[in-house]
Parts: sequence; structure tokens; C-alpha cells
Amino acid sequence: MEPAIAAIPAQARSKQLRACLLCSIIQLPVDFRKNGCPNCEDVVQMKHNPDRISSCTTTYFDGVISVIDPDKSWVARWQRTSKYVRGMYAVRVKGRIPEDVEAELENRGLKYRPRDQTDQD
Amino acid sequence: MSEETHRALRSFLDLEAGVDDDDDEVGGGRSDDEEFDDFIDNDNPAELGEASTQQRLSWTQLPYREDGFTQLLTEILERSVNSGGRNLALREPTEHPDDAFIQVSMPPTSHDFPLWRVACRLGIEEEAVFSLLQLAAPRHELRSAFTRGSICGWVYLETTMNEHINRLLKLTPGIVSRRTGIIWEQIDFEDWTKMLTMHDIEANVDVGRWVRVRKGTYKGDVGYVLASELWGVRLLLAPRLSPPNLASSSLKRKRSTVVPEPALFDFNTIEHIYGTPAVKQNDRTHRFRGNIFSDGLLLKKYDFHSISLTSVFMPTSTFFLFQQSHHPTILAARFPCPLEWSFDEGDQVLNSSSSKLGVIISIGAETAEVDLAGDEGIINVPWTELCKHIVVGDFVEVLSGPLRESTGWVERVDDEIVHVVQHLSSETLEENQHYRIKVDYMLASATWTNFTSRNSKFILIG
Repeated sequence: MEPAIAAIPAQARSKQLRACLLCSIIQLPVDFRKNGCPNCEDVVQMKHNPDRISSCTTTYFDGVISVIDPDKSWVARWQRTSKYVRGMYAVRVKGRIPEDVEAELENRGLKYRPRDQTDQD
Repeated sequence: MSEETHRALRSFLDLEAGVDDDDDEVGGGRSDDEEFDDFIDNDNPAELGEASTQQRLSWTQLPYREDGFTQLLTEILERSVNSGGRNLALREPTEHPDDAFIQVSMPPTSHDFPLWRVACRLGIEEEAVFSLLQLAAPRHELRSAFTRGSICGWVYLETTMNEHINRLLKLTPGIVSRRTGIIWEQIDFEDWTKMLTMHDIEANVDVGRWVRVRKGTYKGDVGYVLASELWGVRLLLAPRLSPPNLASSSLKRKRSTVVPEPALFDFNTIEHIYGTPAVKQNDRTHRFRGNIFSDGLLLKKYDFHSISLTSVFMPTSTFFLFQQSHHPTILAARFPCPLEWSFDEGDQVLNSSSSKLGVIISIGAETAEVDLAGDEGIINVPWTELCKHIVVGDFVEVLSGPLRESTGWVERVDDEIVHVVQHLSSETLEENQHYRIKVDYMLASATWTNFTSRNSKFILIG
């Protein structure tokens, strides 16, 4: 199995950049369409699915983090992205995942935690 | 440095990092935006040092075509593999992927790499962060880099700040590089997590609005919003250029406690005064010492934290400077009532655009409701078109300025200048002084026949 790779957007200020509502990774829609979300794909299933991309990602995000060494980064630990792939992440993402995705997480015994900084540890 | 690279680099040279003394952040910070006046030597690219011999990467030069993106990414990965030591490739999917969804925020410890903030040109912060993701290798000891978005002019690095990352930063698009090196500060440990706490700010500042600058050399000054962007605003301000003797002093920064007086930028005389010419640009602006001037006014960028929408008070001196600039946007703009002007409901006024008299009905921020004589009724008149109606013989009192509380009779009115015979004593008028006052400073209390001392004489001078 090939290692997961987070696509690096070619333009930092592209207005098309979107952040995943579940993991906060930032990619272009074309990357979500081609490869899905490198962290959450088995849950959000965005690959080749524009509707899922539209509902599970958003352009409403603040701050941008380059997570270069997620294993060792305290920034990644604080942002709850230390177990995700290396890539670009949003500091804050406004919005919630669709109900069906939240239900899937509950089925797995997981609690959804929005990334809008309203749910802080 | 090749000419093409130099041109690409110069696209960043006109930007100026803003000042950021946000309450959320600590450390010395840059509280005086004059600190960047000499951070770029446009005249001698060679003095950029090590960076001048190597090509900076620019995101604007990267191709952005869907068909070319895959090729670009492949090239990046190949370079990373061939360069050795880099590890762009990431992790294997976890055996228990659900673990990733139950992560808990863990605070930093003393064993973690420290957090630094590094000065970055306004509007280029995200490009810098993206570039570091591309270029970082293990030797740089850089674990993450981020920008807050709302606070511009800085990027934050989780790093040991060794020599390798220092060299990399000099090549990173947007990072401010002075002759003395990169501008950076270490963030206190107890403030690390605050850097990742976002606050909602007023980001809806309309073009054409007047705002007050909260930080730096222009703290307290009122500026006109020429453009509003995602990161902040571009303001037109009355320039405050340091005097020539201070501007040409050594590069060693010394904090000046004297803020220069505002004065319009004059392209024709600047070289005579400072010994350095201003550069005329294609958009009819001028560039001088890292600043951009448009029709005599300074064009400056500020993030939203550096401006205030409240307590916007414009001194009359600033009002006149803006008017004298003849900047086309400013001439068409509406102004707040200058601080020293005193208008009350019931004041008789002259609408200078129509030369019609009227009476003020109500006072607004940028206009006054005036009931014009005749059939025109009540209209809104901008402050730039209003002046008090003063006539010869009126007894007046100066309400503001150096002649405040002076009283006297109006001897002559020349447009907006009122010539007044000052009354110094209720007993005699023999030692009267004659002076001129701008009409809007005055309160016309009554004609001379209503003067309190009926024994005084009224003598016209000259």
C-alpha cells in the first residue's frame, strides 16, 4: 500500500482552497476529488464525490499551519493533528460535518469535535 | 542576481510589514513601523547579502494549471528524495485509524522546540508558510510554521532557530531580511498556546471610511480606507517623514520620541531635502525609502488589529492637508467634522457649493442637515461644503486654536478668512490688535451693537 501523501497546493492564496471539517487539512478541491482526504477518507468518502467535498470541506477557515513533523510538533499536538499526515492545516475551521458523518463516528464510538475552537480541552 | 529574479524580488519590495503590538502577544515586538524604513536597499541589491546570490522562490511564478499540477508535485517529491534526508513522504496509514479521531489537545512542554515569530511582509504570510513546508528538511529543525491570518506581518515557527533555518528563511518568499539579518523574536512559553487561539475581529471595513491608526508612527492619526482586503486595509495618511538629519543617521536603530509633523510629500523637492530622489512608478505613485506616496499622501497597509473604527477625530490641520493633496479619491470623499470646528443646531451657514444660506437643523458624522432658504428645503451638506456665515460687524469669539477665547468685531471677510479687530479691554479700544481667523473657528454671538460695554468705542483700523 502506498503511503498517504497530502497534496501541497500550488498557490497559497488560492480562493479555492478548502479545509476538511473533520481534520482541518487544507487542499484544493481537485486534490480532494482525486485523492480524497488523506486523514479521514474512510469516514468522509470525498474521493470522486463533489457533493461530499462540498459538505465535508469549507472555505471558512482562519490561519494556516504547515505541519512538517507531526509526530514531534507541539503545535500539531495542541491542534489535535499530530496523528495526521504532514501538510497544510487550518488553525480554525468554521462549520460542522454532515450528520451522517457524525453518525458514522458515533457508530465507531467516537465523539465529533468541531474545529472552530468552541470545544477546547 | 539575474535581472528576472531581481524583478521578481522587487515585487515584494514595495510591501511593508505592519506593526503588531496585539494584546495577545508579548515580547518587544515592533511598535514603531519606522523600523522598516531602511530594511530594503532598493539601490543596491548586492547588499541583500547571501540571499542575493540565490534565487528566491515565488509562488506567483509557480504554474497553476490542473494539468501541470501533478507534474509539479512529482518534481517536488523527486527533488525531496534526491536531495537526501528530506522526508516529504508521510506516514503509513495507521493500523488503528480511529485513533486519529480521538486526539486530545496536549499543551507544550519544556522539551518542545521553542516558538518564534519572524517578520514577514504584509499579505505574504501564507506564501511563506507554504514555502517552508516545501523546503524544510530535518537539518532545519523546523516542526511547524503557521500564520494567524488575522494578525499580519508575522509568521510563527516551531524551531530551534539554528543556522540552517536562518539560511532557509533568507530564501523564503515574504520573510523580511535586513542587512543585519532576519527579524525574529522568541515567544514566552506561557503565551505559546495563545498564538493558536483565534479571535473574531471586525473585518468589514468599508472603502471610503475614516479610521484611526492604533499603532506605530501614525498612532492616533486618521486615515482614509482606500482598499479593504482579507488581511487588512490600505490607508491614505498625511505623511510624517523624519527630518533629513534623523533620516540619514546611522542604521543603528534608536527610538525617537518626537513624532514628525505631518506634511504632504512633494516629489519635486524631496531630493533637495533628503539627498535621495523618489522613484516615480507606473501607477503615478512615488516610492521613497520603502514608502509609497500618492498625490502627496502616504499609502500604507494595516491589518485589522492595527486600526480602530471608533474615536475617529480629525484635527483641522489634517483636514486641510488632505484637501490640499488634490488626491482624486480624497477630493470626492466625505470627511468627518474637524475636531476644532464648532457647529450647533441653529447656526447660520453658507453652502459653498451653491452659495446659499441656511440654518443647521442637525449635526451628523460626515454631513449636516441644513434648512436652506427658499424652496429647497432641508438637505444634507458635507462638512467640506459648509462654513459659518459671518458678516462685517458681527461680534465674534474664537473657540479653538491659538487665539482661543479672543473676542472682537469682524472688520472684513475674505472667503474663509475673517479679519477681526480684537477687543482687549472693556474700557478702551486704543490698543486693539488686528488679526485674521478662519471663519469656522468662531462663534458669531451678536453684532457690535450688542456688545456688553456700551461705553466702549468701535474704531476700525486700516
